[in-house]
Amino acid sequence: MDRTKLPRPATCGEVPDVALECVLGGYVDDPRDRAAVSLVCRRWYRIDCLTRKHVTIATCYAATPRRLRLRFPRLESLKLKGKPRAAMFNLIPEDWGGHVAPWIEEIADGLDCLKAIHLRRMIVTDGDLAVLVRARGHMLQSLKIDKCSGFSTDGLKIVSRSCRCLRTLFLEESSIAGSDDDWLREFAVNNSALESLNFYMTDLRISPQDLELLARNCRSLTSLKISECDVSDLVGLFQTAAALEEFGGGSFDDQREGDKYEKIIFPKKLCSLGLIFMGTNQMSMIFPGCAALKRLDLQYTFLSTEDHCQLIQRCPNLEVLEVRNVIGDRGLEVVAQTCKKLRRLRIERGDDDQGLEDEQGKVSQVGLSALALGCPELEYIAVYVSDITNAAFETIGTFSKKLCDFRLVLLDREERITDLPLDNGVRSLLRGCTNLRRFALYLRPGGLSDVGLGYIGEYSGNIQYMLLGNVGESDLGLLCFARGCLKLQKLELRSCCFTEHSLALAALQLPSLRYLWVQGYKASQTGRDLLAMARPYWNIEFIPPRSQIADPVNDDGRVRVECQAQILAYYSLAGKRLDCPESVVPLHPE
Amino acid sequence: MARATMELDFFGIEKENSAAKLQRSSIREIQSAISRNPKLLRSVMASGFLSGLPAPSIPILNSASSSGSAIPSSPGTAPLTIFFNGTVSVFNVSHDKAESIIRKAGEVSVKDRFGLENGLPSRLTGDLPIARKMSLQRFLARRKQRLSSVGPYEKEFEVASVKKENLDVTQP
Repeated sequence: MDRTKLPRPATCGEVPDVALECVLGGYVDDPRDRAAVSLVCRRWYRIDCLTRKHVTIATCYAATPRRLRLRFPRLESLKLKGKPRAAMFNLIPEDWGGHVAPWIEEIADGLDCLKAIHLRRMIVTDGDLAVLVRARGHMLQSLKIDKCSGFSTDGLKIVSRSCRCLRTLFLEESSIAGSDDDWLREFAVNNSALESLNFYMTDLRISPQDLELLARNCRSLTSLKISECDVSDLVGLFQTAAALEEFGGGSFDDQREGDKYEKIIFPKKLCSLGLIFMGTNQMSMIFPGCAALKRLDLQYTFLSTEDHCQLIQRCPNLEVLEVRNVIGDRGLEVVAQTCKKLRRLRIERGDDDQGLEDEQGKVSQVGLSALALGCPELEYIAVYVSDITNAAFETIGTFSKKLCDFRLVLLDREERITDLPLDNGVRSLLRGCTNLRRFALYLRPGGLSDVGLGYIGEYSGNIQYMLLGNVGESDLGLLCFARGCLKLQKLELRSCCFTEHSLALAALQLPSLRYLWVQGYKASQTGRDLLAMARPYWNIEFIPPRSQIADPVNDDGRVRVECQAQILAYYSLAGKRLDCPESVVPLHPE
Repeated sequence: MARATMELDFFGIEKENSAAKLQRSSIREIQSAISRNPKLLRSVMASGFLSGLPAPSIPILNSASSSGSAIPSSPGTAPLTIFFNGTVSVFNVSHDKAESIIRKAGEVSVKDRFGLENGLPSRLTGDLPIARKMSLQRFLARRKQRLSSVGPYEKEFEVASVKKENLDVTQP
């Protein structure tokens, strides 16, 4: 057919808008692709605005709610993050900020297509929930209130009464006031669409009967993670929730004798399990289902090193494993031999006191090397080690080719570490693991020299997030580091020896940096050296040192510790923060 | 000649970015500021303080040049001020005694000092202890509670460890 006779498209040789909307709306989801699309021309920008389904705002003060609503009026899913990550470690003042109210107002005003919302480390009140639910409750499918605080069981009841098509409710690790236990019953009675309910690591009280009622009414329930509730009371739940694939929470008591837990039979499809306070004597109850397990969470159990070995060797299909370092090198060797499909491994820090943890409960280069050799599918490793060598890093760099996220903390209990500094090992790891996007390295003085810190800069590749602790020896190291790290967007520094001046210079030099958090540095007398990094759209917050309760978990406030000063800086289109509490000092040149 | 002790506003707590304000303060406040960040003090002193401030008025391990302090001294002695491990101590000693103290301090090797200090945390982790995740902290506290609520026939060492745990593990 003669090409010149083909009908011309409706818009001068270009792809018609409708077609572009279909292509972008249907096939282009990755936020980086979307960012690129929006920069092509105004027309593509407009189409992106109308078709983008999800936006993540990594720092809620980086943009205004109004701007979000005006740019993406048809948004379907929103994720908002408030407090800095350090809040998970009790380092950020509770009143720092991250109030969700202004966002909820805007959502209620104009985001008519929103059906999924994820709030992380924010302050959410019952009033906020009421406004949200009034505006979007009839359409809300997914509500995640993740490590938030400020609301109560009253707020939950408001949600339960109006969000009848809610499929996902996630409340993990949120601080929720109120001790009544009928909030769950409200959900059970008002909702039949629930597929995933998570109130793991909360203090919410419930009754087992309400869980059963929920399971009976929500036949699609596949994931359930609860707060503490004795597992022996859950027999009925497990019988009713036939479709359950994931269960977490529960609780065991210390019974040495008795068969209280022997009647438990887990649902057939269960492939993800995490049981709180499970001990050696109760472990065998999960043996029958071990072969099917893809995810296992032992972080909150009372198991010994030997128990971990016994258990894990029965789990050849494990893809995600979360433990404390009680697993030990021995346990890691079992993992390496057994769990060939392992993709994610988290090894948290157990008790420092040897009397309370298994004495074999230490992870070192021995276990890590075995892991790298035995588990080639690993994408995520987060580990607290007691000892480490350059060779172990090299092994990881050689064999863990799929690694996207690597985090290592060197514990401070051992006086002598086998092989410091770790300059060459770190270089090998960074050069070998070319897919790394996130990297954390927390050492001790002497752990990484200025040269080593320079290596991190030079070989950082596509790493977007870094947490570095006790690295380098001087400002020279930091400035060398800042000459590299071309893709670094978010940087957290702790317990380092850098001066304010060099921190400011580094912030200016790192080309992709949009977020910086620092605690533990060489402060100047006035803090004025920080202003060297003052520039348009760059908000700088200073959190002065303050005294806080040492152990907020189980102390009434008698023992207090000093929490050192912090610097937080981030790009923002929202201008200066107007809601800073006493504990936060915004810095700007006058 | 008495010299005023001085307080350095290390962290700009006064919320003003103008020139540093020098105020009178007690040794204790300096001590607490230093103990927060002993490295800071060393670096500040090494740099001879920023411009605009008077020469160091806090004597540095050198009784010979000691020009006195607010503490009254008896004849033949002079104040010897020692900064060590985040604390400030002032002694009235004779010149000879001061010299022998300084010599002795110089003789102690790094290793000996380390052994004497019984696991000084700041040498291993810099100035900040490794922070613990709240979720793990809660779990470990619950486990302690359960252990300490067990009957009197449990092994002694478990109870003893629980007590020790209370003191140092849970610092942010």
